[in-house]
Amino acid sequence: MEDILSTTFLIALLSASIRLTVPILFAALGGMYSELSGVNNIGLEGIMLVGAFTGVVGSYYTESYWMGALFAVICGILIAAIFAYATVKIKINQIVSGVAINLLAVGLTSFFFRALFGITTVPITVNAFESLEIPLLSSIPIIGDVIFKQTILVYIAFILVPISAYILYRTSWGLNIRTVGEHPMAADTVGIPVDKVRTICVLLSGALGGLGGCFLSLGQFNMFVDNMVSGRGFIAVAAVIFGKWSPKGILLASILFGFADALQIRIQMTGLSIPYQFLLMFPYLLTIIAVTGIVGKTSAPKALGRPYEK
Amino acid sequence: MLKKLMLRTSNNLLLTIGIPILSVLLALLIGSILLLIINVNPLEAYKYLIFGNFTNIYNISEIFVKATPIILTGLAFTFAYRTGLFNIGADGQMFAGAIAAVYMGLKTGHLSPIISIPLCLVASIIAGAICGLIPGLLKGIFGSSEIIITIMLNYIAQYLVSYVVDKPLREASGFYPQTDLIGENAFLPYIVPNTRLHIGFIIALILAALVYLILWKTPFGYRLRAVGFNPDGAEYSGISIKKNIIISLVISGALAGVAGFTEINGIHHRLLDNFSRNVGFDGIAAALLGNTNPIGVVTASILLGMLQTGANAMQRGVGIPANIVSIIQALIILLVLFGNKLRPIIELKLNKKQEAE
Repeated sequence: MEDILSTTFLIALLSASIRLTVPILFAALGGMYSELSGVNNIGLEGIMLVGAFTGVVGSYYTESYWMGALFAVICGILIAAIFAYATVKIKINQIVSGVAINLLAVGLTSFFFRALFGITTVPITVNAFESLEIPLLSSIPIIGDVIFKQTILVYIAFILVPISAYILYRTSWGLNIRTVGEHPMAADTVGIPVDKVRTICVLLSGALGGLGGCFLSLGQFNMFVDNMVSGRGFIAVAAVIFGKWSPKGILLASILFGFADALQIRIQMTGLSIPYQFLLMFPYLLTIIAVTGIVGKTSAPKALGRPYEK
Repeated sequence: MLKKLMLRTSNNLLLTIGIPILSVLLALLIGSILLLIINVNPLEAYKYLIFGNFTNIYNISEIFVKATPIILTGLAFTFAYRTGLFNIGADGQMFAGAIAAVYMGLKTGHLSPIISIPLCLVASIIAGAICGLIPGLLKGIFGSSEIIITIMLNYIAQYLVSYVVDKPLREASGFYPQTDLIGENAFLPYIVPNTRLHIGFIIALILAALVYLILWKTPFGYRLRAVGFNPDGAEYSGISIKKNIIISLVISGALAGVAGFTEINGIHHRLLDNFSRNVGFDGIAAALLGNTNPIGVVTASILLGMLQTGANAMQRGVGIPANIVSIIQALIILLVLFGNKLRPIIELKLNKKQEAE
């Protein structure tokens, strides 16, 4: 039990928390753009799965994890394009389209996984991102080990938070996005192309969701496993709600979920007598608690989930 | 006037059947492109996919075996959907139903079937209903998203199954993470000898009829649909939205819970980790393909059952991963939704054309 309080344990726990935060953070930031523009994107789960798979495929054939990440982003955008076409252009119900996108992603990834690599007993491993120690900063005790010895995708994810805040609150683009999500008709009247803004936001969520998925397969591991996203895309959607649709809130929510996940893994490793299945349930239970009551509903974009028809 | 009306009805029927059929064909077409990419002759593959089932009675009956839980989860989605709710949690509700059914089956399986089977059924209904009550209460009281909550409950229920077969109900020999076989008297009787087709299929059909009657032929169902159709209007006319949301999700969960019962007492006869995963999502596919109408759900479930058993035949015959069917299924959903959006336009054109004649 004293294990839990040791510095090594703490560093390992916090460092794992950061790593587990990143995929959720990427996807949640993507989900934020989509939701702020008025499109509920529960297809993020599928988008992440596609990103995780195509990242591995890209890295496998080019032997470069950068190309893997690029391929994951492109494929994330492609699958998001189907979603955008369905929800923004044809105005099909967003939830139902999201479910269809998720099913499509499960099918496509597991089909092509078998088609490309066959049925293997040993998992296919590829070149994955290596940790990048930031000089000086990484030598700070504890913090250096936790924050400044991560892969580059981790740094990118965290830098995206202030960048997103800047875009949303300091640029006309951000204002456009928020207007479209709050009051599409007003936006339309002043000449903001509602459908175009929404499409771009959904595609952006595809790019970020793809990157989040790719971090799972290339940033944490170096392989793809069927269904490896296992609900993180949905948790990201919950993080958007819990974070009240703001980059800062989403960062905190993602860290909370990342920490919960890391904590349950670490507790499993300490060999406590709690059945491991209950520990595995923890992040999902936390998600339910998070979206219930703790946050006010007032900040949801008013036009969220409603297709805009002139 | 009468002629006009008749034309319109025939057009309606044409589109109601036509759109799903066209969607299936188009989805198969897109699937064949994928097959060509991996160097497989689509005609050869589809020969197995479509006709692979019809080789003997056993294979044909497997279509209905597969369709049974899909009908039930499809009805679950339909019931909530008609009240304006999205129950994405049929998987979890089915798992809960299965845990309850297997527990009851282990405890009462030595008694007479007339006692044991109904007890298992009731247990699964209660467990599924509780799984629907949770999102119902949270949605009704706090206004939380039932979508996220039902999805999260899927994962929680899945781990609960894994726990139950790992610890409290692990088989006596303790070898595999699974429960003992339930008592033979709790097995659902077979309809066709030497097949696995059990009366769970009939139960599913009866429930489909019940759902239809409740939703369309009772004041209670009218109120539920009013909440889904126009919540503000319903509230204005004195219908309690909260109450109806909770009731709808409870019934929806109960329907999915029964799928757990039919899978345990009809097919597996024990609880296994990872059993029947994703049936809840197949149910959503069936519900949408069947236009969220119980008759449509039954028809669509049988079609999906056919595709899934066909996929296995295809995998054996040509060695293509059976997963292609899940791609085709997802494409079917998207195309049906797309077709339904286009429907008013097509209808208008058809009516004009026929009137001109």
